Amino acid sequence: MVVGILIALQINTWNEQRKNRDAEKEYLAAIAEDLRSDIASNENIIKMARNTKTAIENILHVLNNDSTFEELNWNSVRSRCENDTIQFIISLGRTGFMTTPEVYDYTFDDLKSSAKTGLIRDSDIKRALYNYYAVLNRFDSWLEAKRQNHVRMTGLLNALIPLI
Amino acid sequence: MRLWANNNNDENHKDWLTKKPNVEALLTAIRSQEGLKAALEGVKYTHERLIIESDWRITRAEEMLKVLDTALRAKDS
Repeated sequence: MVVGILIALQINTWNEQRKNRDAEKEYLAAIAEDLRSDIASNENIIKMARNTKTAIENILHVLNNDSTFEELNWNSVRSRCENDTIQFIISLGRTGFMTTPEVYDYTFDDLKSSAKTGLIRDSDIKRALYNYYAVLNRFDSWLEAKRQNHVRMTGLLNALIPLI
Repeated sequence: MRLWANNNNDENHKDWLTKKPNVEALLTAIRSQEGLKAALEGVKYTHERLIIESDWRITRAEEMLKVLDTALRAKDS
């Protein structure tokens, strides 16, 4: 009788452990998906930021020189229209674009809020994940402070709209 | 924030081609906008930092992904 109860308890423990291992694997796979989304999102930000930077450099070039539009770099602002004046106007509009980093931390947040981080048995991985997500938030306040420049610039450029 | 709702809209291009904005007046206005150069330089710097930050984030995510992929492969075997 006692042996039977002990065996039943042991089987129950094994079942729990197996369930936890399955859940751990599912969570790690979901976090890996979030990380792939982080990578794709940041690749997109780099592309957008490079395009906007080129557009700003075009406007600065015109501000600093008596240049013609032919000297400007349309490569990253080129639209379907080949007219240089319109490309310049598009450059002006392009300067207002800013995509900010988004962190795909949904799975890790879910783990934390449901107090399930214990499912991740490897403490090195757990520490690395905490560190990874904590460090990503430090840039947000810097970016927020720089938003004033952006607001000022778009305000000044918006004043030019009647001329376009 | 955008100056125009849809920069790649053909209809917008048609409008500009028909309207033919006075480029000289536009350039004069741009050059006389006080503070525009400083604001543009500031936003350009923000974008440069964004590029560096995003590049760094990609490296970090790739490193973390490598760790997780290794752990997941070990659990599969």
